[in-house]
Amino acid sequence: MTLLQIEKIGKSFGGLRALNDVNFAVNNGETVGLMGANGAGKTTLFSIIAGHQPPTDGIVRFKGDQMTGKRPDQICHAGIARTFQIVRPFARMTVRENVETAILFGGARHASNQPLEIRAKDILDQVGLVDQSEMPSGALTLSGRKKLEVARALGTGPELLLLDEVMAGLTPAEVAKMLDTLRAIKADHKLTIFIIEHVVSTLSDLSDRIIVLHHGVKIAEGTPREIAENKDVRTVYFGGDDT
Amino acid sequence: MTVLRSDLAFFAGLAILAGFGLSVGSLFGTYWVIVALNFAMWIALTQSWALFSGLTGYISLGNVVFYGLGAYTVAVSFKVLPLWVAVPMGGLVAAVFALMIAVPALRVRGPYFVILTFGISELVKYSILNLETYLGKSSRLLFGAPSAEAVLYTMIALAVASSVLMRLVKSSTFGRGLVAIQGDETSAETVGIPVTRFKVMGFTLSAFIPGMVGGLMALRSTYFEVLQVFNPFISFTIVTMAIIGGSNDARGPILGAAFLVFLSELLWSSAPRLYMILLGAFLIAFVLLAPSGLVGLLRKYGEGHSK
Ligand SMILES: Nc1ncnc2c1ncn2[C@@H]1O[C@H](COP(=O)(O)OP(=O)(O)O)[C@@H](O)[C@H]1O
Ligand SMILES: [Mg+2]
Repeated sequence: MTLLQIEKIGKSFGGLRALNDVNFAVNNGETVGLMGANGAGKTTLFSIIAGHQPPTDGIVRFKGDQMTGKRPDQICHAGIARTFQIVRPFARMTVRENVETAILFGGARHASNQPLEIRAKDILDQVGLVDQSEMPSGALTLSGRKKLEVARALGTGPELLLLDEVMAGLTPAEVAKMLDTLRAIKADHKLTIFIIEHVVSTLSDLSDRIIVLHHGVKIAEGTPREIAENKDVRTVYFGGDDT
Repeated sequence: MTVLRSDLAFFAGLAILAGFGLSVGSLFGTYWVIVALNFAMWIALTQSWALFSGLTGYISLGNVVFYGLGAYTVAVSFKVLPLWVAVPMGGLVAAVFALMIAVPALRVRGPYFVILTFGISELVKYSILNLETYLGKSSRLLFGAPSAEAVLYTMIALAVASSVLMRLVKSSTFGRGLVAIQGDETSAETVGIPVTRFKVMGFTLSAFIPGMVGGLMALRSTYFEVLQVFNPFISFTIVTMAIIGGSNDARGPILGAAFLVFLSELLWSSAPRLYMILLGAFLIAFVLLAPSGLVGLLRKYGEGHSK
């Protein structure tokens, strides 16, 4: 079943065409990777899906309903959560309060008898941040802040999770751990994941399918293997066709 | 459990303070009625400011506009409406005004919001000044206004109401949303907080009590003069008290108001320049060294103590 449908999405910033006629779908239960060089338009696409920016053209559908024109909080309540590449924790709150806030406002529709604190701690435990629960969010390391982004998104009880470079800047050991975490939360929360990642091998490891953006245009879509063998991708990514 | 106990302590402290304020006239005489009135007024104004600006981080430097509109409402309707209607009407006019300007004003953040709120309060001041001049009313006398005691009792009720409101909002889901907006507005909408609605609601709510306070103070001074009730110094004082006391906790505005009222009682009539210098020095010291104010210091001390 199609969960997310991107139809003819275009975005202009003044004269710059950040996205142009992008079309694809993400199906229920899939992990789909989004790949592309810096400035390809990946984050912009996430911002459009999450309602932070209006597209110049096209529409986004989620479970058949039009999301374009809705506010971010409404899109959150529809079941889409996102993380930010440049992390944005709630300042002046502890790590636990950050997640509690997400549960309180985004996840309230998931009735639960558990106290808020326990629900938050469960999620923090899953991302490996439970020991830092009472820390001010600003005191976390980069890896901690990336985990907090994931935890907070999970707190809203999403069906579709948009992850924007949650592994960028992490050490190889941290990346390996994050991969395990993502697999575990995906199974546990029955998620569909749409993930932006810079490192091709990491993305291939995790994804059922990969979509490649180049200067705002979708140039390829397929399984990790198909993408690795795709001529256009090799040209833009590896600087030449090495056949 | 600790939450309940601290709630109890807060409300008990508030009740004792209010009871003391109510009996100050019979205990110490008329002079202290004026001091108590002053203290209660600043609590009500600063607490209301903290409810919005303290929780969201949208620093308003124009809250005198609510006070002035309340005062104007009462002055204009004096001897037309009974006072128990006119004073709440002052609050209502202030709240409706806040609601009207909220959507455009709350689109800007940081220093722009500060300047905008200041500008709006000055704009309203001069608009009403012109209106009054056009109507041929340079000032309005309010003959037969209620006694200082009656005004004091009502003011104490407003101080208590604003403190209870701040406490309740702070610990509510709505309050958590306002704090999240301060923490990161974009993240707030991402986790499902209807940011614009919350900001508008908070701003409107924070205007009601100051409008009533302004109405009461017009009765207290028995005459109404535009430049006096829209004096930006009132806005500055509110912000100063909030910074010194701390503004993300209902205890902060009470401490800040107490501190400044005490300081001004001590120095204002005898050494006004020294008072202003000290005021500036304290403001700088708190901004730099204790940004959470007296209540922040209290918390720190309490934590250190319990460990
Ligand atoms: N708010 C904005 N205003 C102007 N240009 C922008 C804005 N956001 C992104 N861009 C531009 O759009 C292009 C795509 O950016 P982005 O989506 O962040 O790329 P990616 O995430 O793939 O690295 C870049 O050229 C970037 O400079
Ligand atoms: Mg990006």
